[in-house]
Amino acid sequence: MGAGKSLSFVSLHMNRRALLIASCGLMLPPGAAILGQPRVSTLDSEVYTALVNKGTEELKPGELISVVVAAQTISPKGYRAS
Amino acid sequence: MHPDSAKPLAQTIRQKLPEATRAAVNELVRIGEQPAIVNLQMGALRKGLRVHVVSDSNLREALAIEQGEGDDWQRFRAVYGGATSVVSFSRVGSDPSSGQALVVSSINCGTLCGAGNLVLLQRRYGVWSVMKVGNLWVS
Repeated sequence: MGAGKSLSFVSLHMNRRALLIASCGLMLPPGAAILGQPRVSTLDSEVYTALVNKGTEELKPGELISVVVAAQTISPKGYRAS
Repeated sequence: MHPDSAKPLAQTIRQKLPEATRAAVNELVRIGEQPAIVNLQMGALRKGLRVHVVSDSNLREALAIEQGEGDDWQRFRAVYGGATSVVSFSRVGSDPSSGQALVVSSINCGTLCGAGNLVLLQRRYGVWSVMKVGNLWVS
């Protein structure tokens, strides 16, 4: 009986470790998951900045707008219309 | 959803923007599916702009997408200081030898309010300018 308990304990311990490892990816806060992704290159930044400037060039001087820029992914088989 | 959405991206780009070089198209297709953090050059932006760069998860939270009742744009506007729309970018497919860059850009401003475009840019004397825009979808 003692051996059985021991076995049971080891088994449970391993399962808990496996569960912990498996759940790490799921339990990270959303922000942390995003931070793990690569930052875009300088060239990408230049292009995004140029596009934001182009898209707002008809604003009147002093007119304030807010632009929210989000990363978007596209599928290799087609683009995502979000 | 755009009617062309089932077409391979490379084919769509060649139809919409035949001026794009094969290298730029291939690069966009290659890295287009890789998510990344958008990074703007804040000092190079036009004066007077208030720009928020947000992650996909923050955006979903602001729009209350997880609550399953459709996007809550009123909530979004309150969170982001009255911002009316979201501009999203794909990764950039570039061809250094020709100085071209290709990017998919979309704007969303509410239900049935948005558009997606393929944008071809050309770099001359260190400055990027938009060469041509091809519409992908409108809602």
